[in-house]
Amino acid sequence: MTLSLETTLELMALADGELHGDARERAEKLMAQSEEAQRVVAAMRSSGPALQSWLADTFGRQSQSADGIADAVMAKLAGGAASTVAGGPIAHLVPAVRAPRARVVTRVALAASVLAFAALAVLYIRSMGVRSGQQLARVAAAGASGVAIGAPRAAEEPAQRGRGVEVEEIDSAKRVSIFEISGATASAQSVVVWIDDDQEER
Amino acid sequence: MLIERAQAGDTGAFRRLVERHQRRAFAVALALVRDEDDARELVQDAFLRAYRSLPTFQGGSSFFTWLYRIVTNLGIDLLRKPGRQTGEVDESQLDSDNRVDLDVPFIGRLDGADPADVVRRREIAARLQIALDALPSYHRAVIVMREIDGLSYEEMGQVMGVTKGTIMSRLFHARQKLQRALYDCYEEQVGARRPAEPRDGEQENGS
Repeated sequence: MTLSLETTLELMALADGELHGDARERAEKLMAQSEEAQRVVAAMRSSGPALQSWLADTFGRQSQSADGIADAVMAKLAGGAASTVAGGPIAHLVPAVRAPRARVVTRVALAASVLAFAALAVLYIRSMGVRSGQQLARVAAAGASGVAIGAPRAAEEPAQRGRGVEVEEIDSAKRVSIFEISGATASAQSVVVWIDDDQEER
Repeated sequence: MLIERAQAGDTGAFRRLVERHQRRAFAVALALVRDEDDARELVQDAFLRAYRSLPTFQGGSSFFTWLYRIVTNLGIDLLRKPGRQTGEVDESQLDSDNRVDLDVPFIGRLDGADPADVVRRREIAARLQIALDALPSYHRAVIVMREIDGLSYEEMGQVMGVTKGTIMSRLFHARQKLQRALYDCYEEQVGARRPAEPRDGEQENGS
């Protein structure tokens, strides 16, 4: 054989349909001039299908061993194996159906947070009003040490009788006050638990 | 499209991707590592890595080319492990007289075929298996990717991380070795002459 390896490789690429541009022109020109090149390409083209058939037999049978791989992979994913594969963090695929539910949960949590903040703001404003306007009656108070509080003092006053609250026990390191806030009507009364954070500064 | 659905979080779509490609991926893995258990583990690992990396898959290459690259890299890593038995077989085995006596079960499915043809295919299969075993891993891999999966030279280069020229060289030499080993089979089937050989003194490059 007089063809070089480089030329032979180009002829193989031509036979495989993988040769393009100038290289293809060059190979085709050689084919037109050289019987040897023609024989090489013809042999390559004719032997390809036979080899493919034999290989398909061999690997077709062997690859049946691969049929359980999908089950194994999905089982590992379900068991969180993907997160333990070496190479860094894993972006978990979340089932599509979960996405809307996650958004709903987020919105509900956000709404609850807003409502809780609003309630705290109302309580704070009310307590400020209580301090300045003396609109409430102190019903119980606890000092820095934990104390057991029985009937609130407010409940003992004639004007507030019947509207007091029962405090079983308060165990706190801070000063705790419990107020009953009077409203315009009897049903509009509220009880405020006040925990004094400024105690140490006084 | 399955890939887009898998990227969007559809695990059912990902499962179908695995089912679609598991056999071909396994064939490549087996060509590289030779051992079925190792190949199965390797392919599972490759799919898990593909799953993890799906959000970053841009679709610039086909999914199976991308997957094959993962399989190939894992296979090469496995082959490089210290103490790994590569199972490379000496090429002299190709001339062994006992090759036709090897049990190759896949021929058994040729029920109803001409008994002489069955025997002949069994002989070819046994010799092909020996010839494949005698090839270096990267030669077997290119044979599988080209002759079974039909990958282009360009795709094979991407998968194996080598140039197109290297792929051409590996493919040529792998085919040549198989043709030498199965010369009389070729002659019988397609009336082939001895496989073309380049001028003396030329060496395989890139492998």
